[in-house]
Amino acid sequence: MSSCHSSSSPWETPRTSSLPPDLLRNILSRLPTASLPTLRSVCREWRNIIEDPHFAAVHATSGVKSPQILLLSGLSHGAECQFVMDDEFLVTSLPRSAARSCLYGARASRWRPHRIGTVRRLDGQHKIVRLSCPTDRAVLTVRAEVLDQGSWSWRVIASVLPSILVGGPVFAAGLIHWEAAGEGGLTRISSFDVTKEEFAWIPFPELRDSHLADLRGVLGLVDSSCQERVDVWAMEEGWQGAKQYSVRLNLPWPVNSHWSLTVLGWGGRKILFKCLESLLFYDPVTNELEYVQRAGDAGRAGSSITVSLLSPAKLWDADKVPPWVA
Amino acid sequence: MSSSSSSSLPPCPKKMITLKSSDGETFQIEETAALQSKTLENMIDENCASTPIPLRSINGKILAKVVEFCNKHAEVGVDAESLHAWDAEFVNVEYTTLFDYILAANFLEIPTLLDLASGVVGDMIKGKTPDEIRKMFNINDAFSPEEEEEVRRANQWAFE
Repeated sequence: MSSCHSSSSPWETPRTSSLPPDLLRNILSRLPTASLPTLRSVCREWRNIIEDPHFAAVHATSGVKSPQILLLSGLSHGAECQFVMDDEFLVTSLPRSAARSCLYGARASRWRPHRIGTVRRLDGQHKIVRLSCPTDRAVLTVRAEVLDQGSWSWRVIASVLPSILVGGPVFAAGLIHWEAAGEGGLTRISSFDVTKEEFAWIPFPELRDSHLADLRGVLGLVDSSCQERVDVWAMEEGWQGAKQYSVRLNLPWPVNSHWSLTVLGWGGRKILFKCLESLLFYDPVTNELEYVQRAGDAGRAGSSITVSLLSPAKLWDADKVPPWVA
Repeated sequence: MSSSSSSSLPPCPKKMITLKSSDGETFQIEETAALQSKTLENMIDENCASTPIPLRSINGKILAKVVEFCNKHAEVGVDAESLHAWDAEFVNVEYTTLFDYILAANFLEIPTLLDLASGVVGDMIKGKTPDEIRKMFNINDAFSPEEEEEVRRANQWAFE
Protein backbone atom coordinates (compact mmCIF):
# COMPACT_ATOMS: atom_id res chain seq x y z
CA MET A 1 0.00 0.00 0.00
CA SER A 2 2.95 2.29 -0.29
CA SER A 3 2.50 5.06 -2.76
CA CYS A 4 5.50 4.14 -4.85
CA HIS A 5 3.85 2.40 -7.74
CA SER A 6 5.96 1.63 -10.73
CA SER A 7 5.17 3.91 -13.62
CA SER A 8 4.68 1.01 -16.03
CA SER A 9 1.35 -0.74 -16.30
CA PRO A 10 0.36 -2.07 -12.91
CA TRP A 11 -1.02 -5.20 -14.50
CA GLU A 12 2.23 -6.36 -16.06
CA THR A 13 3.63 -7.87 -12.89
CA PRO A 14 1.72 -8.99 -9.86
CA ARG A 15 2.52 -6.71 -6.95
CA THR A 16 2.39 -7.96 -3.44
CA SER A 17 2.50 -4.97 -1.15
CA SER A 18 0.49 -2.19 -2.67
CA LEU A 19 -2.97 -1.46 -4.00
CA PRO A 20 -4.07 1.17 -6.51
CA PRO A 21 -5.89 4.17 -5.00
CA ASP A 22 -9.38 3.15 -6.10
CA LEU A 23 -9.08 -0.23 -4.38
CA LEU A 24 -7.59 1.35 -1.28
CA ARG A 25 -10.46 3.85 -1.30
CA ASN A 26 -12.90 0.97 -1.44
CA ILE A 27 -11.32 -0.52 1.71
CA LEU A 28 -11.16 2.76 3.63
CA SER A 29 -14.77 3.55 2.78
CA ARG A 30 -15.79 0.54 4.88
CA LEU A 31 -14.26 1.94 8.05
CA PRO A 32 -16.12 3.86 10.75
CA THR A 33 -16.00 7.63 10.34
CA ALA A 34 -14.49 8.07 13.77
CA SER A 35 -11.32 6.25 12.74
CA LEU A 36 -10.74 8.24 9.55
CA PRO A 37 -9.14 11.40 10.97
CA THR A 38 -6.52 9.26 12.70
CA LEU A 39 -5.93 7.16 9.59
CA ARG A 40 -5.00 10.31 7.70
CA SER A 41 -1.61 10.19 9.35
CA VAL A 42 -0.74 6.68 8.10
CA CYS A 43 0.83 8.01 4.90
CA ARG A 44 0.34 10.63 2.20
CA GLU A 45 -1.67 8.34 -0.01
CA TRP A 46 -4.16 7.54 2.73
CA ARG A 47 -4.43 11.20 3.66
CA ASN A 48 -5.09 12.20 0.06
CA ILE A 49 -7.83 9.60 -0.25
CA ILE A 50 -9.56 10.48 3.01
CA GLU A 51 -9.41 14.22 2.35
CA ASP A 52 -10.88 13.87 -1.12
CA PRO A 53 -14.46 15.24 -1.13
CA HIS A 54 -15.54 12.36 -3.36
CA PHE A 55 -14.39 9.97 -0.69
CA ALA A 56 -16.67 11.67 1.83
CA ALA A 57 -19.53 11.18 -0.61
CA VAL A 58 -18.75 7.52 -1.11
CA HIS A 59 -18.22 6.97 2.57
CA ALA A 60 -21.43 8.69 3.60
CA THR A 61 -23.52 6.60 1.26
CA SER A 62 -21.66 3.30 1.37
CA GLY A 63 -22.75 0.27 3.29
CA VAL A 64 -20.85 1.15 6.44
CA LYS A 65 -23.06 -0.11 9.20
CA SER A 66 -22.56 2.18 12.15
CA PRO A 67 -22.31 5.77 10.93
CA GLN A 68 -25.15 6.78 8.69
CA ILE A 69 -26.33 10.06 7.35
CA LEU A 70 -28.34 11.73 10.04
CA LEU A 71 -28.88 15.09 8.50
CA LEU A 72 -28.31 16.55 5.14
CA SER A 73 -28.84 20.18 4.49
CA GLY A 74 -28.00 22.99 2.17
CA LEU A 75 -28.58 20.91 -0.93
CA SER A 76 -30.71 23.46 -2.64
CA HIS A 77 -27.93 26.01 -2.58
CA GLY A 78 -25.47 23.55 -4.00
CA ALA A 79 -22.57 25.17 -2.22
CA GLU A 80 -22.29 23.07 0.84
CA CYS A 81 -23.72 19.89 2.22
CA GLN A 82 -23.47 18.93 5.80
CA PHE A 83 -23.50 15.38 6.95
CA VAL A 84 -24.12 14.52 10.55
CA MET A 85 -23.51 10.94 11.44
CA ASP A 86 -24.33 9.43 14.78
CA ASP A 87 -22.13 11.13 17.30
CA GLU A 88 -19.67 12.15 14.67
CA PHE A 89 -20.04 14.54 11.87
CA LEU A 90 -18.16 15.72 8.94
CA VAL A 91 -18.64 18.99 7.18
CA THR A 92 -18.03 18.70 3.54
CA SER A 93 -18.75 20.24 0.21
CA LEU A 94 -20.09 17.71 -2.17
CA PRO A 95 -20.60 17.92 -5.87
CA ARG A 96 -24.28 18.51 -6.42
CA SER A 97 -24.60 15.44 -8.55
CA ALA A 98 -23.52 13.19 -5.71
CA ALA A 99 -26.17 14.52 -3.39
CA ARG A 100 -28.77 14.59 -6.11
CA SER A 101 -28.31 11.00 -7.10
CA CYS A 102 -28.74 9.76 -3.57
CA LEU A 103 -31.77 11.69 -2.42
CA TYR A 104 -33.03 13.96 -5.14
CA GLY A 105 -34.45 11.39 -7.48
CA ALA A 106 -35.41 12.00 -11.08
CA ARG A 107 -34.41 15.34 -12.50
CA ALA A 108 -37.32 15.64 -14.85
CA SER A 109 -39.88 15.38 -12.10
CA ARG A 110 -42.53 18.04 -11.70
CA TRP A 111 -41.57 18.27 -8.05
CA ARG A 112 -38.37 19.89 -6.95
CA PRO A 113 -37.17 18.56 -3.60
CA HIS A 114 -35.96 21.41 -1.43
CA ARG A 115 -35.63 20.06 2.08
CA ILE A 116 -34.62 16.68 3.40
CA GLY A 117 -34.69 15.66 7.03
CA THR A 118 -33.47 12.45 8.55
CA VAL A 119 -33.73 10.87 11.92
CA ARG A 120 -32.38 7.69 13.35
CA ARG A 121 -34.97 5.64 15.15
CA LEU A 122 -34.47 3.38 18.11
CA ASP A 123 -34.52 0.29 15.91
CA GLY A 124 -31.47 1.60 14.07
CA GLN A 125 -33.43 2.44 10.93
CA HIS A 126 -33.42 5.94 9.55
CA LYS A 127 -36.52 7.85 8.75
CA ILE A 128 -35.98 10.26 5.92
CA VAL A 129 -38.58 12.87 5.01
CA ARG A 130 -38.33 14.82 1.77
CA LEU A 131 -40.20 18.05 1.07
CA SER A 132 -40.76 19.15 -2.49
CA CYS A 133 -42.44 22.05 -4.19
CA PRO A 134 -43.71 22.14 -7.78
CA THR A 135 -41.18 23.19 -10.38
CA ASP A 136 -43.57 25.67 -11.97
CA ARG A 137 -44.22 27.42 -8.62
CA ALA A 138 -47.68 28.36 -9.83
CA VAL A 139 -49.25 27.37 -6.55
CA LEU A 140 -47.78 27.31 -3.11
CA THR A 141 -48.04 23.65 -2.27
CA VAL A 142 -45.57 21.41 -0.59
CA ARG A 143 -45.40 17.69 -0.94
CA ALA A 144 -43.90 15.59 1.83
CA GLU A 145 -42.66 12.06 1.37
CA VAL A 146 -41.13 9.48 3.65
CA LEU A 147 -38.49 7.12 2.34
CA ASP A 148 -39.29 3.47 2.77
CA GLN A 149 -35.89 1.94 3.27
CA GLY A 150 -37.08 -1.55 2.51
CA SER A 151 -37.96 -0.73 -1.07
CA TRP A 152 -36.06 2.58 -1.34
CA SER A 153 -39.14 4.26 -2.67
CA TRP A 154 -40.83 7.45 -1.50
CA ARG A 155 -44.27 7.35 0.11
CA VAL A 156 -46.34 10.54 0.03
CA ILE A 157 -47.78 11.59 3.39
CA ALA A 158 -50.96 13.57 3.73
CA SER A 159 -50.16 16.07 6.46
CA VAL A 160 -48.13 18.99 5.22
CA LEU A 161 -48.05 22.71 5.96
CA PRO A 162 -48.58 25.21 3.16
CA SER A 163 -45.31 27.02 3.55
CA ILE A 164 -41.89 26.98 1.98
CA LEU A 165 -39.39 25.99 4.59
CA VAL A 166 -35.98 27.51 4.92
CA GLY A 167 -32.86 26.49 6.76
CA GLY A 168 -31.61 23.05 7.55
CA PRO A 169 -33.63 20.46 9.40
CA VAL A 170 -32.87 20.12 13.09
CA PHE A 171 -33.86 17.04 15.00
CA ALA A 172 -34.76 17.56 18.65
CA ALA A 173 -37.29 16.15 21.09
CA GLY A 174 -38.68 13.58 18.67
CA LEU A 175 -39.43 16.14 15.98
CA ILE A 176 -37.70 17.33 12.85
CA HIS A 177 -37.82 21.13 12.76
CA TRP A 178 -37.54 23.54 9.90
CA GLU A 179 -37.67 27.30 9.86
CA ALA A 180 -40.53 28.73 7.88
CA ALA A 181 -41.11 32.26 6.79
CA GLY A 182 -43.82 33.88 8.90
CA GLU A 183 -45.56 37.23 8.68
CA GLY A 184 -43.64 40.49 9.03
CA GLY A 185 -40.28 38.87 8.48
CA LEU A 186 -40.58 36.77 11.60
CA THR A 187 -39.54 33.17 11.64
CA ARG A 188 -41.87 30.31 12.43
CA ILE A 189 -41.02 26.72 13.15
CA SER A 190 -42.58 23.84 11.33
CA SER A 191 -42.13 20.54 13.10
CA PHE A 192 -42.56 17.04 11.79
CA ASP A 193 -43.57 14.40 14.30
CA VAL A 194 -41.54 11.39 13.32
CA THR A 195 -43.84 8.82 14.91
CA LYS A 196 -47.17 10.25 13.80
CA GLU A 197 -45.80 11.52 10.47
CA GLU A 198 -47.57 14.83 10.94
CA PHE A 199 -46.54 18.44 10.60
CA ALA A 200 -47.46 21.18 13.07
CA TRP A 201 -46.44 24.73 13.90
CA ILE A 202 -44.75 25.32 17.21
CA PRO A 203 -44.57 28.68 18.99
CA PHE A 204 -41.48 30.72 18.46
CA PRO A 205 -40.11 33.80 20.24
CA GLU A 206 -40.29 36.89 18.08
CA LEU A 207 -36.87 36.75 16.56
CA ARG A 208 -35.52 37.91 13.25
CA ASP A 209 -32.35 36.66 11.59
CA SER A 210 -32.32 33.49 13.57
CA HIS A 211 -31.81 29.87 12.77
CA LEU A 212 -32.39 26.57 14.49
CA ALA A 213 -29.71 24.48 16.10
CA ASP A 214 -29.55 21.19 17.90
CA LEU A 215 -28.55 21.71 21.54
CA ARG A 216 -27.88 18.03 22.00
CA GLY A 217 -31.45 16.89 21.81
CA VAL A 218 -33.13 20.18 22.69
CA LEU A 219 -34.19 22.66 20.06
CA GLY A 220 -32.02 25.74 20.10
CA LEU A 221 -32.50 29.10 18.41
CA VAL A 222 -29.55 31.16 17.33
CA ASP A 223 -30.40 34.83 17.13
CA SER A 224 -27.88 36.78 15.11
CA SER A 225 -29.87 39.95 14.58
CA CYS A 226 -27.36 42.00 16.56
CA GLN A 227 -24.08 42.91 14.97
CA GLU A 228 -21.85 42.45 17.97
CA ARG A 229 -23.24 39.33 19.58
CA VAL A 230 -25.08 36.10 19.04
CA ASP A 231 -27.82 34.99 21.42
CA VAL A 232 -28.72 31.37 21.83
CA TRP A 233 -32.12 30.32 23.10
CA ALA A 234 -33.17 26.91 24.32
CA MET A 235 -36.70 25.70 23.74
CA GLU A 236 -37.63 23.79 26.85
CA GLU A 237 -40.65 21.63 27.63
CA GLY A 238 -43.85 23.30 26.61
CA TRP A 239 -41.87 25.27 24.01
CA GLN A 240 -40.91 28.07 26.34
CA GLY A 241 -37.82 29.85 25.15
CA ALA A 242 -35.03 30.75 27.56
CA LYS A 243 -31.88 32.62 26.64
CA GLN A 244 -28.88 30.43 27.35
CA TYR A 245 -25.85 32.15 25.90
CA SER A 246 -24.85 35.53 24.72
CA VAL A 247 -21.69 35.22 22.66
CA ARG A 248 -19.82 38.43 22.06
CA LEU A 249 -18.27 38.38 18.64
CA ASN A 250 -15.18 40.39 18.03
CA LEU A 251 -14.92 39.66 14.36
CA PRO A 252 -13.44 41.77 11.62
CA TRP A 253 -16.77 41.79 9.83
CA PRO A 254 -20.28 42.56 10.98
CA VAL A 255 -22.56 39.62 11.62
CA ASN A 256 -25.96 40.90 10.75
CA SER A 257 -27.46 38.09 8.79
CA HIS A 258 -28.01 34.49 9.67
CA TRP A 259 -26.91 33.53 6.21
CA SER A 260 -23.35 34.29 7.18
CA LEU A 261 -23.39 32.62 10.56
CA THR A 262 -24.35 29.08 11.43
CA VAL A 263 -24.03 26.94 14.49
CA LEU A 264 -22.55 23.67 13.36
CA GLY A 265 -22.46 21.78 16.59
CA TRP A 266 -22.73 21.77 20.29
CA GLY A 267 -20.01 20.17 22.30
CA GLY A 268 -19.46 19.17 25.88
CA ARG A 269 -19.27 22.84 26.61
CA LYS A 270 -18.14 24.42 23.39
CA ILE A 271 -20.12 25.65 20.44
CA LEU A 272 -18.79 25.35 16.94
CA PHE A 273 -19.74 28.29 14.73
CA LYS A 274 -19.27 28.75 11.07
CA CYS A 275 -18.96 32.39 10.25
CA LEU A 276 -18.56 33.03 6.55
CA GLU A 277 -15.69 30.67 5.76
CA SER A 278 -14.21 30.65 9.24
CA LEU A 279 -14.85 28.08 11.93
CA LEU A 280 -14.82 29.18 15.54
CA PHE A 281 -15.18 27.51 18.90
CA TYR A 282 -16.91 29.37 21.69
CA ASP A 283 -16.30 28.35 25.26
CA PRO A 284 -19.00 29.82 27.52
CA VAL A 285 -17.04 29.12 30.70
CA THR A 286 -14.05 31.21 29.72
CA ASN A 287 -16.07 33.32 27.28
CA GLU A 288 -13.33 32.75 24.72
CA LEU A 289 -13.71 32.57 21.00
CA GLU A 290 -11.11 30.51 19.23
CA TYR A 291 -10.48 30.07 15.52
CA VAL A 292 -10.45 26.51 14.27
CA GLN A 293 -9.96 27.62 10.73
CA ARG A 294 -9.78 31.09 9.30
CA ALA A 295 -11.30 31.99 5.99
CA GLY A 296 -8.89 31.04 3.23
CA ASP A 297 -6.99 28.61 5.44
CA ALA A 298 -7.66 25.41 3.63
CA GLY A 299 -8.22 25.62 -0.05
CA ARG A 300 -11.16 27.22 -1.72
CA ALA A 301 -14.70 26.90 -0.58
CA GLY A 302 -17.22 25.53 -3.00
CA SER A 303 -15.68 22.63 -4.79
CA SER A 304 -13.07 21.76 -2.21
CA ILE A 305 -13.53 20.42 1.25
CA THR A 306 -14.06 22.96 3.97
CA VAL A 307 -13.14 20.93 6.99
CA SER A 308 -12.15 17.53 5.83
CA LEU A 309 -13.29 15.45 8.73
CA LEU A 310 -14.46 16.41 12.13
CA SER A 311 -14.85 13.83 14.80
CA PRO A 312 -16.15 15.78 17.73
CA ALA A 313 -17.10 12.62 19.62
CA LYS A 314 -14.44 13.43 22.19
CA LEU A 315 -15.44 17.01 22.40
CA TRP A 316 -19.09 16.12 22.39
CA ASP A 317 -18.75 14.09 25.55
CA ALA A 318 -22.28 14.11 26.83
CA ASP A 319 -21.61 12.24 30.05
CA LYS A 320 -19.26 14.72 31.63
CA VAL A 321 -20.92 18.05 31.07
CA PRO A 322 -24.60 18.96 31.24
CA PRO A 323 -26.26 19.96 27.94
CA TRP A 324 -25.36 23.53 28.62
CA VAL A 325 -23.42 25.20 31.30
CA ALA A 326 -25.60 27.06 33.77
CA MET B 1 -35.28 -35.42 -7.77
CA SER B 2 -34.24 -39.06 -7.25
CA SER B 3 -30.83 -40.23 -8.45
CA SER B 4 -32.33 -42.92 -10.65
CA SER B 5 -34.28 -40.46 -12.77
CA SER B 6 -31.33 -38.11 -13.19
CA SER B 7 -29.00 -40.96 -14.18
CA SER B 8 -31.38 -41.91 -16.96
CA LEU B 9 -30.68 -38.61 -18.67
CA PRO B 10 -27.59 -38.33 -20.84
CA PRO B 11 -24.87 -36.39 -18.97
CA CYS B 12 -24.84 -32.83 -20.16
CA PRO B 13 -21.37 -31.92 -21.40
CA LYS B 14 -19.97 -29.16 -19.21
CA LYS B 15 -18.62 -26.19 -21.10
CA MET B 16 -15.13 -25.49 -19.93
CA ILE B 17 -12.91 -22.50 -20.53
CA THR B 18 -9.17 -22.28 -20.04
CA LEU B 19 -7.35 -19.53 -18.16
CA LYS B 20 -3.62 -18.97 -18.41
CA SER B 21 -1.71 -17.34 -15.55
CA SER B 22 1.17 -14.86 -15.83
CA ASP B 23 3.64 -17.68 -15.23
CA GLY B 24 2.14 -19.91 -17.90
CA GLU B 25 0.03 -22.29 -15.82
CA THR B 26 -3.32 -23.20 -17.30
CA PHE B 27 -6.55 -23.75 -15.38
CA GLN B 28 -9.82 -25.26 -16.51
CA ILE B 29 -12.97 -23.67 -15.15
CA GLU B 30 -16.58 -24.45 -15.88
CA GLU B 31 -18.33 -21.72 -17.78
CA THR B 32 -21.08 -21.51 -15.14
CA ALA B 33 -18.45 -20.84 -12.45
CA ALA B 34 -16.55 -18.40 -14.68
CA LEU B 35 -19.70 -16.31 -15.12
CA GLN B 36 -19.13 -14.83 -11.67
CA SER B 37 -16.42 -12.79 -13.32
CA LYS B 38 -17.87 -9.98 -15.39
CA THR B 39 -14.65 -9.82 -17.37
CA LEU B 40 -14.87 -13.51 -18.30
CA GLU B 41 -18.61 -13.23 -18.88
CA ASN B 42 -17.99 -10.52 -21.48
CA MET B 43 -15.36 -12.67 -23.18
CA ILE B 44 -17.71 -15.64 -23.22
CA ASP B 45 -20.49 -13.46 -24.63
CA GLU B 46 -18.21 -12.23 -27.37
CA ASN B 47 -17.03 -15.77 -28.14
CA CYS B 48 -13.49 -14.92 -27.15
CA ALA B 49 -13.24 -17.75 -24.64
CA SER B 50 -12.68 -20.69 -26.99
CA THR B 51 -8.90 -20.39 -26.72
CA PRO B 52 -6.94 -20.11 -23.41
CA ILE B 53 -7.45 -16.65 -21.92
CA PRO B 54 -4.13 -15.09 -20.90
CA LEU B 55 -4.28 -13.28 -17.54
CA ARG B 56 -0.95 -11.52 -17.39
CA SER B 57 -1.60 -9.85 -14.06
CA ILE B 58 -2.43 -12.98 -12.07
CA ASN B 59 0.11 -15.63 -11.16
CA GLY B 60 -0.65 -19.34 -10.96
CA LYS B 61 -0.82 -19.50 -7.19
CA ILE B 62 -3.46 -16.76 -7.00
CA LEU B 63 -5.36 -17.89 -10.08
CA ALA B 64 -5.69 -21.39 -8.59
CA LYS B 65 -7.32 -19.83 -5.51
CA VAL B 66 -9.58 -17.60 -7.59
CA VAL B 67 -10.76 -20.60 -9.61
CA GLU B 68 -11.36 -22.47 -6.35
CA PHE B 69 -13.41 -19.53 -5.05
CA CYS B 70 -15.52 -19.35 -8.21
CA ASN B 71 -16.13 -23.11 -8.17
CA LYS B 72 -17.20 -23.03 -4.54
CA HIS B 73 -19.54 -20.09 -5.10
CA ALA B 74 -21.06 -21.78 -8.16
CA GLU B 75 -21.83 -24.96 -6.24
CA VAL B 76 -25.53 -25.68 -5.93
CA GLY B 77 -27.14 -26.43 -2.59
CA VAL B 78 -24.48 -24.93 -0.32
CA ASP B 79 -26.19 -23.33 2.67
CA ALA B 80 -25.25 -19.78 3.55
CA GLU B 81 -23.70 -20.69 6.87
CA SER B 82 -21.24 -23.22 5.53
CA LEU B 83 -20.34 -20.94 2.63
CA HIS B 84 -19.66 -18.19 5.16
CA ALA B 85 -17.36 -20.51 7.09
CA TRP B 86 -15.63 -21.53 3.86
CA ASP B 87 -15.12 -17.86 2.93
CA ALA B 88 -13.66 -17.10 6.36
CA GLU B 89 -11.15 -19.89 5.89
CA PHE B 90 -10.41 -18.76 2.33
CA VAL B 91 -9.36 -15.27 3.43
CA ASN B 92 -7.45 -16.46 6.48
CA VAL B 93 -4.19 -15.62 4.71
CA GLU B 94 -1.41 -13.05 4.84
CA TYR B 95 -2.20 -9.51 3.80
CA THR B 96 -0.04 -9.77 0.67
CA THR B 97 -2.22 -12.64 -0.53
CA LEU B 98 -5.35 -10.64 0.35
CA PHE B 99 -4.04 -7.78 -1.78
CA ASP B 100 -3.47 -10.23 -4.62
CA TYR B 101 -7.04 -11.49 -4.25
CA ILE B 102 -8.28 -7.89 -4.36
CA LEU B 103 -6.23 -7.09 -7.46
CA ALA B 104 -7.36 -10.28 -9.19
CA ALA B 105 -11.00 -9.78 -8.19
CA ASN B 106 -10.84 -6.21 -9.45
CA PHE B 107 -9.28 -7.24 -12.75
CA LEU B 108 -11.68 -10.13 -13.29
CA GLU B 109 -14.57 -8.15 -11.82
CA ILE B 110 -15.70 -10.66 -9.23
CA PRO B 111 -17.67 -8.49 -6.77
CA THR B 112 -18.15 -11.23 -4.15
CA LEU B 113 -14.41 -11.85 -3.87
CA LEU B 114 -13.57 -8.14 -3.99
CA ASP B 115 -16.01 -7.44 -1.18
CA LEU B 116 -14.85 -10.36 0.89
CA ALA B 117 -11.14 -9.57 0.69
CA SER B 118 -11.60 -5.77 1.02
CA GLY B 119 -13.77 -6.30 4.09
CA VAL B 120 -11.08 -8.45 5.71
CA VAL B 121 -8.40 -5.84 5.04
CA GLY B 122 -10.76 -3.22 6.52
CA ASP B 123 -11.18 -5.36 9.62
CA MET B 124 -7.39 -5.61 9.93
CA ILE B 125 -7.17 -1.80 9.94
CA LYS B 126 -9.92 -1.29 12.52
CA GLY B 127 -8.71 -0.38 15.98
CA LYS B 128 -5.05 -0.05 14.99
CA THR B 129 -2.86 3.00 15.37
CA PRO B 130 -1.22 4.56 12.30
CA ASP B 131 2.10 3.10 13.48
CA GLU B 132 0.70 -0.39 13.74
CA ILE B 133 -0.90 -0.04 10.31
CA ARG B 134 2.36 1.10 8.72
CA LYS B 135 4.14 -1.86 10.27
CA MET B 136 1.39 -4.31 9.31
CA PHE B 137 1.30 -3.25 5.65
CA ASN B 138 4.98 -2.37 5.40
CA ILE B 139 4.25 1.24 4.43
CA ASN B 140 7.40 3.33 4.19
CA ASP B 141 5.81 6.54 3.01
CA ALA B 142 5.37 7.91 6.50
CA PHE B 143 5.14 11.63 7.15
CA SER B 144 8.06 13.58 8.45
CA PRO B 145 7.61 14.57 12.11
CA GLU B 146 6.83 18.11 10.93
CA GLU B 147 4.09 16.94 8.57
CA GLU B 148 2.65 14.64 11.21
CA GLU B 149 2.53 17.54 13.66
CA GLU B 150 0.69 19.57 11.03
CA VAL B 151 -1.98 16.88 10.56
CA ARG B 152 -2.25 16.57 14.32
CA ARG B 153 -2.68 20.30 14.83
CA ALA B 154 -5.27 20.61 12.12
CA ASN B 155 -7.43 17.93 13.73
CA GLN B 156 -6.51 18.23 17.35
CA TRP B 157 -9.83 17.09 18.71
CA ALA B 158 -9.68 13.92 16.69
CA PHE B 159 -6.48 12.83 18.36
CA GLU B 160 -7.30 13.77 21.94
